[in-house]
Amino acid sequence: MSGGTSHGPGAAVAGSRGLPASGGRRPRSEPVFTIANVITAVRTVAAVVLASMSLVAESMPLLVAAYLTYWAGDIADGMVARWRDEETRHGAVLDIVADRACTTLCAGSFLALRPEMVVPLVIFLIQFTVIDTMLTLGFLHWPVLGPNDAHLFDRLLWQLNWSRPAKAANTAGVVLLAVTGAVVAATVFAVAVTVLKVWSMHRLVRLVAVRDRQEALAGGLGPDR
Amino acid sequence: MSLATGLGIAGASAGFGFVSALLPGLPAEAYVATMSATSPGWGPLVVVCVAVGQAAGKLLLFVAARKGLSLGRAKLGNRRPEPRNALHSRVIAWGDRALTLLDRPWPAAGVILVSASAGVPPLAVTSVIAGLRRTPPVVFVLCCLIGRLARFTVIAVPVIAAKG
Repeated sequence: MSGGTSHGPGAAVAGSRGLPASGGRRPRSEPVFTIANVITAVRTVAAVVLASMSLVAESMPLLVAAYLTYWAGDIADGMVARWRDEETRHGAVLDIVADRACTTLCAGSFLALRPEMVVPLVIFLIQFTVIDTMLTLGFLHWPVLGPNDAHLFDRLLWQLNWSRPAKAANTAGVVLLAVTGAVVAATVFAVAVTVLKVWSMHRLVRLVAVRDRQEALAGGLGPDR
Repeated sequence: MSLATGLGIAGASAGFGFVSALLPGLPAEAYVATMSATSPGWGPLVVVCVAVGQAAGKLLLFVAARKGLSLGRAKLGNRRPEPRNALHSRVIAWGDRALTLLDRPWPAAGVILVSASAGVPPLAVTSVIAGLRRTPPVVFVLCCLIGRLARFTVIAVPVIAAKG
């Protein structure tokens, strides 16, 4: 009943790369007010305030400070969570939501300062705030602590979306290209990342469907034919 | 809105300096270089505020060590870099000898100045060991601030000059 080939998403669930029925990094009883979550909240407020000030003052230095605060804070909260063994599903979701808040306002401010970048930034915003949000929240279908654990259910998805190089390229690539003023390069990059995210979303949906069928069969609740 | 811009940059820079003083994975030098490159006019303010934030963060390490507070899983005082070559191992050995001087105010001032400006011994290590020894807090924080100001000025000035 496995729906995939040895290289397909079905194999990722059923094979050695997938989670056993009771395996993986199972969520524990989770604290909410961890230091890592506090850092996430503080960096989000700081970056959003700086980006808002940049928008009102039409100030590029404030926008750069906002981006650096957002990126550094994003690194810091993850680092502290791992360091203190405070990785939680609450924290992962908070991090994902906070990233969208920071990115939306920073990109909006960028757009106000550099309106010629409208095409790549709008493509990037749609991709990041809609497609990537749904994709990144996909980890909630599995008993793992966050998208950084996605390799436990699909290594390829993790490599393309949540490994460190992938995260850096996917979130900062368009912005850094836009800063250089390369409209065409930024647009091509934004489109490429969007295609990758759509493909990843499709793969994730198949993974979930295959996993659900397997669980239904294992529980004696076979799908209707 | 220039005042608001200045306040925003000052707050962000001091905050970045403070957090990066506690988390070695966040290089304040990269922040100073990036801000100086993109906003040369605000470079001096960035240098001062990041240095103040760093001094405050290192002071927290100093006080935490002196009060015997838990630093979580961080064992900064025991963190020893692995020597990469003969020269590097001599630098590490020099740093270890320098840390023994932290009990006396004047030699301690010299060690902290070198540590804060050149990074040898690493300032995080110096902060914790100075907290454990009898280094006066005023000497520590002043030398830390002056050393960090010098370090960030050396990074920012060429970048600002190249932009100007």
